Amino acid sequence: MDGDNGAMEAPPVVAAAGLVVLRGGRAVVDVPRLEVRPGEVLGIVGPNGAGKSTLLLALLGLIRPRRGAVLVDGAALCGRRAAAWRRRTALVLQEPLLLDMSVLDNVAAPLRFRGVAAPAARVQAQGALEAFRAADLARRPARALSQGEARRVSLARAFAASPEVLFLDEPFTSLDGPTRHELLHELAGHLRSAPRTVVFVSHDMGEVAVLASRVAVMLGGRLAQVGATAAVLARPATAAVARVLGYENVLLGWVEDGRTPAGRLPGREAALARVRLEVERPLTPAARRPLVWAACDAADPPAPGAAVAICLQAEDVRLEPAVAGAGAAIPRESLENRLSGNVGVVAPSSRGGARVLARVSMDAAVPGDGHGGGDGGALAVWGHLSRDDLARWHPEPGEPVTIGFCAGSAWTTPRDAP
Amino acid sequence: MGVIWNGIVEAMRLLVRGDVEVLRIAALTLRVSGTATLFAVAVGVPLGTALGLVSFRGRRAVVSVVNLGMGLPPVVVGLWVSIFLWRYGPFGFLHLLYTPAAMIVAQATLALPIVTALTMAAVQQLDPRLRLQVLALGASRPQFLWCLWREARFSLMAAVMAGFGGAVSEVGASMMVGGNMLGRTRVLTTATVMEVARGNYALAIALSIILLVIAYLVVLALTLAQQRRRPA
Repeated sequence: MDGDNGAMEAPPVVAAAGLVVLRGGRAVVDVPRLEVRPGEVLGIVGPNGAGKSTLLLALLGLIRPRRGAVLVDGAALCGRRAAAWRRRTALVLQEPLLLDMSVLDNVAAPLRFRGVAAPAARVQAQGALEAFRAADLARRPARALSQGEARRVSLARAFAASPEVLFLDEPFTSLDGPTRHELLHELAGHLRSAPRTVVFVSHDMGEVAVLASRVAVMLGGRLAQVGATAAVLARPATAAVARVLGYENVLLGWVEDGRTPAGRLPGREAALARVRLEVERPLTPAARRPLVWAACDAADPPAPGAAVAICLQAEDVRLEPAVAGAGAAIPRESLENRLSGNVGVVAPSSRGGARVLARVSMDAAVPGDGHGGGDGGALAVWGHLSRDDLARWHPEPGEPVTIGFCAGSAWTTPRDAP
Repeated sequence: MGVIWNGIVEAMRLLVRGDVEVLRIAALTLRVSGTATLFAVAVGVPLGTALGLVSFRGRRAVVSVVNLGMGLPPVVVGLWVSIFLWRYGPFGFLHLLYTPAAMIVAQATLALPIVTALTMAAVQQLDPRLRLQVLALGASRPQFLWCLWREARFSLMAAVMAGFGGAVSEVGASMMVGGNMLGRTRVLTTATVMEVARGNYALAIALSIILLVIAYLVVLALTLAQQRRRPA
């Protein structure tokens, strides 16, 4: 499961071992092994209901597992040891959850819990507020803050006690764009200047890419993939993981018989595969199915005829207006795939620019007949056009396009079990 | 109308003159109801907190009993406390019947369900994630409870005031277990009933006004403590 190789130098700070948490008779967390290594920033991602928050709370000893244990320094958490463990950590939840007292008293609270006298606690709390640029809020009642201010205060509160391990549960989710961006980068700055172990749960792959050194993908309470952030983001283990990681395109297909791996992908540790893409609702059994080049795991390539899914991000798909007569559904021997199709849907993208759904035409001889999907059935690919691209060309639904993507961007994963 | 005015004038006179008997009755009222409320709070607040925070098998049954207790008729309480403290009853050896102690027991029994139920409601109104957050910040069990009670202080004060109100306004049970004996177990409520029965309406009104004033002053003190830090 773990994508890293090599032994760890230091024992994990906290680890889940055979952890099973039940809720309403259902296992919401089922993790045989997950370690949090000292000094790392571990991101836990997954769809709603995947058990991420439950896992986080269990790692703090706030939720009792049905089976298994959470190990801290090798010993299982329970009762008094859990309370002592929590004095070495801090937690920030989705809502700021401040107490009904002044901001300064709120930030000083974890210090007071640890037995620090009130005057000293206030001084340290003031320091934490200054670090998060919220010093002027100190005297205000906590209930009178805006969302963004309250979020700063709750972060300052978490840092005030200098925790060994910081736990964050989607701390930026309920914030608006600019505030979120600002706080995310402030937090990243704090972690860079004073690195500490962090475990955070997030929905946003942007946050994960910025903060996390390692990523754990959770699906249905189980760990689907764990590994270094870059590796996991580039090479999802399954199609379901790819969807969680934000891959807009998951194209189903079969590995073409006879040639696997079909060669090495120059410059990368990946092999090539030829995959015949599947078409939904083919109008005729003989409808042509496009054949593409894709990248796959060199160490464990898929077998010929294996059912696979090609994971492709919209940013890696190039869309260009089709030049008459130049369309071709058969990939050339270069590593770039070119397909013909028609524009289906044009939607604005939250990243600026537009997401465009292009329907692939099955008939090589007729590069697009204006109705989308050609006459062979349905296969569609999402592409992304930046604002610059849009300035040069604005796609209209039905317009013929050429869809291009490199083999290196098309990652092959096993198909999900039906 | 004249009776009412006479009553008010009589009340002023009794207070200004410092009528010993009336003062003694008023003092006993405060002592008995105050002590009963303290007992009810000492047991009811922890009990209500536990019921609000901890889920255990049979919790709903216990909660129904508590809620039932809020509607307990005082006369029924008086009867059963009498039976228990009766000379031939299980606790007869304590010889508590017809003493202020018995009245404290009765009033505390009536106030306890009120304080418990309102505390439970106050604690349950707090955001469950806030409890997790406080624990996660490193609070020990006592620190956690102090935090929660502080967060719910408005509702908790209301619970105390309601408990005191239930105790001080009680007459039926106090009469039965206390006997309304002059100088020993006569409180403002029982004295008022007695004076009405005797036909001394002015005196009855005077006593009732004094009871109102005392109850109001206690509640005022509690309200000021409750509202000392107003929410922004």
